[in-house]
Amino acid sequence: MDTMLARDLEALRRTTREGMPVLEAQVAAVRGRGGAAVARRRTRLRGMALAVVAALCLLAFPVRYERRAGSEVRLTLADPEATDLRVLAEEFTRALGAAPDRAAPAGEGLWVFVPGVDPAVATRRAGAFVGALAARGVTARATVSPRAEWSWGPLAAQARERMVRLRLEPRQAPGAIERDVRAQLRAQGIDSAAIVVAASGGLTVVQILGPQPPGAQDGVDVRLARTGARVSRIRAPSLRDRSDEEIRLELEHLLREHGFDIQVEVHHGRIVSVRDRRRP
Amino acid sequence: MENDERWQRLTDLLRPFHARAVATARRLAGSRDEGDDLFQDVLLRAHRGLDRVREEDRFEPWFYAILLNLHRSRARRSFWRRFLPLPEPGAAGPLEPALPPADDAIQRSLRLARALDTLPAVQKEAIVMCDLEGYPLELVARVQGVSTTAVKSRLSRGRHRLRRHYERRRRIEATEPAMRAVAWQRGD
Repeated sequence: MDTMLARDLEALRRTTREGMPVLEAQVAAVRGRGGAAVARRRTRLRGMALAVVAALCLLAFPVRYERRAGSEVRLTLADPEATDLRVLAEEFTRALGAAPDRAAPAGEGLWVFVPGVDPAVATRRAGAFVGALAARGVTARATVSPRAEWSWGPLAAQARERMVRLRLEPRQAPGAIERDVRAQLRAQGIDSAAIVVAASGGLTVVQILGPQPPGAQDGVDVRLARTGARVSRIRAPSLRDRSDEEIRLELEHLLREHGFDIQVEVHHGRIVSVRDRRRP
Repeated sequence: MENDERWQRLTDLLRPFHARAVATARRLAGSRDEGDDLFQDVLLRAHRGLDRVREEDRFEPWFYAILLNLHRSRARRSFWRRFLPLPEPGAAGPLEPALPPADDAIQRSLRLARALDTLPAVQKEAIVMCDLEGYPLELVARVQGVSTTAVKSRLSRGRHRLRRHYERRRRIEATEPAMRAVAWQRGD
């Protein structure tokens, strides 16, 4: 066996020495391809570095963005005189999962802000409450609109905020799913979208085509300045159509959320005075 | 140092052992083409780092260290090739021919090259450099970054595995004619 191995070693030694390249020719060939290889490597490294920086930006650096603060629900009663609004406000806020002080009388019914609750969820809760009222003989209608405010955070958080969330119930008929999806999209600010629902053999396919971006909302920008603190800007949409009491409640809530304990006085839709409750 | 000067210095330093270095690269890579390609990569890397080599007697082990490192990283990359799908039977492709009796130098060297491929990288490097190229143990130890005792141990284990590989191969070759005869009698 050792003889066989020794003979094979000798054979391999001999065959690999055949056709030996000339050193200068090899060097010339390498010099030709060296520049291209280095440039390729540098481009690759630069690309990787840029990707890492971009990922860091996404994960770490805060940017200013508009985020959904919650949902505003308006309950309009067919006959407001026949109902005790105070009791109704308690029931309605409980049904929506909001604090009792979030409710205010508005027009012919109530207005409630539900912080942190998705409009789709608020729509479902309000719909259930309206159904319960109807069973008691009280006719009412609920409308839900999302509320946005400016915030700071990484881009990833922004993307998460802007995500449209849909809850689907596949056991429903295709027509019911389409209506449900349309209502959820509308509640999240998307009014026009083509929705196609197809069901076959236990599989339901929901296709949503070309949703329009939500249009610019009416609203007011409230700028808050405090010595030693960052200036905050809060966007409170659709204050225009609200009662003075709604605007007062709304602004006081917003201000409290940003650390200001301020009493606001509103007359005919305008802020006439503000007073810091902490100062005499 | 200017680029041209560096290339010239590399050529001058490499000239005394160029043929052995190319042969080593070919044996490590397992084929002439892959060996020459590996050697070109080593030249490029050596040219970039040549300014770090101040003393000329350190150049040879330094050059071989680059060669072994590049060979190992290529071997690691080629590790994943074994998970690629195999060609369908009968599909056109570079099929490995059955090894005929080793009666000439090419067949003998092919047989040994395949046997070397079965060894762990460090044992293969030690056998290629010591047994095939006749480098002293001290130089191989410096290149591999271990003691001469460790190189001796690698050589011993590598040779043992090669012998076992040859014995296994011989047993298979000895039984093949008998198996073929049985299959022929069965009508397979």
